[in-house]
Amino acid sequence: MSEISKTNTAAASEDSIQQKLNREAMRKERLTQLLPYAGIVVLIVLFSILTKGKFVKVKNLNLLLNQSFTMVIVIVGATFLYTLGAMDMALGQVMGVSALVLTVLYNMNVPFVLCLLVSVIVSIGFMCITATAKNYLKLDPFIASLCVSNICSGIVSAVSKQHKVVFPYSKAPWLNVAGVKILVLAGLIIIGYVLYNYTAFGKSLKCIGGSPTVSKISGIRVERTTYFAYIVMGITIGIAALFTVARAGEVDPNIGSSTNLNVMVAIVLGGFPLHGGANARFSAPIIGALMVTILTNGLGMMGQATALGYGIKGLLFVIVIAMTYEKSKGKLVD
Amino acid sequence: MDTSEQVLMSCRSVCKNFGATRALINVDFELKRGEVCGLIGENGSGKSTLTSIFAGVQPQTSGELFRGGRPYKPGNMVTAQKNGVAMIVQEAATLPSIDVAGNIFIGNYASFSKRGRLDVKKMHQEADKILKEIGVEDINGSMPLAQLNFEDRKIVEIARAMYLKPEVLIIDESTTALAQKGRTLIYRLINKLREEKKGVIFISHDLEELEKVCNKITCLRDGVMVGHLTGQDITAAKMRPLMVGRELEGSYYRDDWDGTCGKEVVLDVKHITSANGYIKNLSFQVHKGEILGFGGLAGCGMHEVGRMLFGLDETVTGEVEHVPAHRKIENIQDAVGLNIGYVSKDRDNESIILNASIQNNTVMASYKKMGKGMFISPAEEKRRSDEQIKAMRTKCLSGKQFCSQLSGGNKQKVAFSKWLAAGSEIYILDCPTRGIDIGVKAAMYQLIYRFKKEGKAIVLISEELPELIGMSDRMLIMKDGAVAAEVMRDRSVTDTQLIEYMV
Repeated sequence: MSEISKTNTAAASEDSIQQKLNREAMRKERLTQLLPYAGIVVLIVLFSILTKGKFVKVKNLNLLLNQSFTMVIVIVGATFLYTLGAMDMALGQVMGVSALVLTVLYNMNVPFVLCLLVSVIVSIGFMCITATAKNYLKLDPFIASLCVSNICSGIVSAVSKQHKVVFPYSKAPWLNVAGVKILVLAGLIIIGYVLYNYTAFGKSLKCIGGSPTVSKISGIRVERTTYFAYIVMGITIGIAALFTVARAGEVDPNIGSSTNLNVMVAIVLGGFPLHGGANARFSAPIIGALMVTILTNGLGMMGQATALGYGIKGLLFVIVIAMTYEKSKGKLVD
Repeated sequence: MDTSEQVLMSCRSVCKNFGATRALINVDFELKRGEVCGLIGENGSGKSTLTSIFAGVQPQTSGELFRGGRPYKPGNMVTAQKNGVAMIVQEAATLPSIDVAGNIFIGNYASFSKRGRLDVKKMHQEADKILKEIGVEDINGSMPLAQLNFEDRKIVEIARAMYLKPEVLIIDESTTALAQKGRTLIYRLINKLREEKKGVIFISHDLEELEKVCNKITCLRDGVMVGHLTGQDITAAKMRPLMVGRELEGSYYRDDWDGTCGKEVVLDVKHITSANGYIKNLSFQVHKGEILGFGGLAGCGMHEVGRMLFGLDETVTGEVEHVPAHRKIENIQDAVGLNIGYVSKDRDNESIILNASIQNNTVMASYKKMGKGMFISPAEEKRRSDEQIKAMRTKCLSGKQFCSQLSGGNKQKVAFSKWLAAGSEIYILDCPTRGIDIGVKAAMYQLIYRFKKEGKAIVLISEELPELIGMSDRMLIMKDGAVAAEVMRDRSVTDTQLIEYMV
C-alpha cells in the first residue's frame, strides 16, 4: 500500500511540474501575440507626450488615416499572398499601371465604376503572370515578380514621362472624404477576415504555405488556390490604386515605389512569418502597417523624419524581430 | 582499479525541457570502460536528447554530467570532441558541396593551415589514412561528396567521428540508413572500441542488431530511465516489454489466419503503365474488407503502384476504376472525392505538415466535406480533430500543438487521423509502420485490422516481410515492375518463400 501511495505522490508532483511548464508555454504564446498591440499603445502614448498632445488631435488622426489607408488595403491582399510564402516585389509597380489605366480612362469620360473595374482587372492580370510562373513554370514567385515589376514600372514611366497624367480630382471629390475611406477599409478588412479564417480557401492557403506537397496529397487544389490568392491581391491593388492616385492628383513615375518594402516591414513587425504557413494570423500585418505609419508620422511631427527617423525605424525593426521571432521554428527567409 | 577510473562518462538527475514538453526526467546514466551500451526506447522517449546532451549539441535544463569522474560541461560539439566524445547522428550531416576530406576535417581546418593557405594535399592524404584505418577502400579524400550515395556519406561521417580518436562514440540510429557494407563496418568499429576499453552508446530500433553487438542495454520510456539489461538477459524478447511498459498481449499482428474477404470489387486496376514505362500492363483488383499486401525489393515498383492508384503519379495507359461509383481515378481530387486515403512512405514531407498544428493536419483533407456552403466553422474543426486525438490516443498537449514537436509514432497517428476524419473507405498505406516504435506499431496493426472488419479496403505496401505475412489477406510480390507471385494468407507462408519470388 505504502509503495502505491508513494508512487502516487511522485506522479502528482511530476504532474504539477508538467502543468507549470504548460502554463509557461501558454503565457509565452500569449505574450508574442499581444506584443504588437502593446507596441502600438506604447508608441501612441509616447508620441502624445512628446508632441504635447498634438499627435492625437483630429487633424493628425486624419493624416494618419490617409497615410495608412492605401497601405492597409494592399496589406489585406498581401496577407493572402504571404500566407503562401510567396514574396512579391511587384505590388507597387502593378498598382502604378493600374492607377495609370484608371486615370487615362477616367479622363476619357468612361463611367467611374467601369474605370475601377478595368483597373482591378489590369492588376489581377499582372498578378496572374506571377501566379502562372509559380504554378506552371515552377519559378520562384519572388523572381517572377521582379520581372513583372520591371515591366510595370517601364509602362508607367514610358507614359507618364511623355506628358503629365493628371487625375480629374474635381469629378470625384468624395474619394478623399474620411468617412468613405473608413467604410471602404472596414468593408475590406471584414471581407478579408472572413475569407481568411472561415472558408476552405483561407484554410487551404495556410496548408499550402506549410507544405505544398502534403496539401496536394490531401486533395487541396494547390494551383487553383494559388491563383485565387493572387486574384485577391490584384483586387486590393486595384482599389488601392484608385485612392492613391486620387490623393496624389497625378500618376507619378515613382508611384508605389516604396510599397513593396513597406509591406514586408509591416508583415514582419506584426509578427507574421515571412514563409507563411499555419502560424499566420490575419490581424498581424495590419497591426504591423499601423505601427509603421504611426512611427513615420510621429517621428515626422518631432522633426526627425529623415536621417534619425530611418535609424530609429531600423533599430525598432531589429528589436521586434529579436523578441517575437522564434529561432527554433525555422528560418525567417528560406 | 577504483570505480571512478572505470566510469568513462556519466550523468546524474539530468532533466531537459523543450517548451512544455519534458524530454528527460531525472535521468541517471553510466558508461564504463569496455561497455557497448544499447540505448533503447520508443520514439520520443528521449534517447536522442540524452546523447545529444553528452555530445554537446544542446545543454541540459538541470542535472550534472561527468566525464572520467570530473564535472563535464561540453557547451558545444567541438569541446565535446576535444573531451573525447564523438557522435554519428541520425540525419545526414555532411556538406555535399565540398570534398570528402573537407567533410572529415570540418571544424579542424586550422591544423592543415600553412601560412594562411590550406594544405589540401596533406588533408587528402590524412583523410585517406583515416578511411583506410576504419576499413574503407573505395572512398578517398579528394572525391566530391556529391558523387557519393547516401550510404557512403554516412561512412564519411563515421570517419569524421573517428578522426579525433574518441573515447566515447555515440551512434544514433545510423544503421537504419546503412546496407550490409556499412553495417559490417560499424560492427567492426564497435568491436575494436570495446577491445580498446573505450565506450560506445548505440541507439537502434533493430533489437536483433542490439542483441548481437551490445553488452549492456539501457531503456528509456517517456524521458525516464526504466531499466537495464546485462549478459544473458539481452534478448529482443526481454527488450520489447521494457520499452512498451507492458507485455504485448496476444499476437503482434492479427490473430486469425482467415484470409477471406468481401466479394465486391472496389478498385479495379486495368493494365496500368507508369510514365517511365517501368510498370507495364499491371492489373489487379481490390475487394471490400480486404488487406491486399504489396511486397518486393527496393526498386520493384510497389511504391509507384500505390502512387498511381491514388492519382499522384501519372498513369499513361490503362485505368484505375472505382467500381461502386463507376468512376475512373485520374487525379488526386478524384481519389479524395471517392474517399480514398493515402499514407505516404515519406511521412515528414508528404503525409503531414510539420509546421502546422495537429488540428490543421487532421482536418485538411476534409474541407470539402465539413463546409457549410463556402464557410467552415472553427468549432467543427476542433470537434473533428479532438475526436481523432481521442480515438487514436495521440499523445499531445492539445490539438493546437505543432506536429514538429511530436514523436515519430504520434506523427504517423496524425497522418492516419487525417484520412479517418475524412471518412475514407479505401486506404493506400505505403510503409505505414516505418520508423515507428513497437507500441504504436501494434496499435496501427489493430487499426488496420479494424478497417478490414468494418469492410474497408486496404492496400498495404510494406518493406517488412513479417508485417506483410502477418497482416495481408493476399500478397502480390513484385519484381521489376511486374507481379511475380500472388500468395494467399496462410500460416505456412515464410519469409524465405517470399524472398525467392522477389529476387
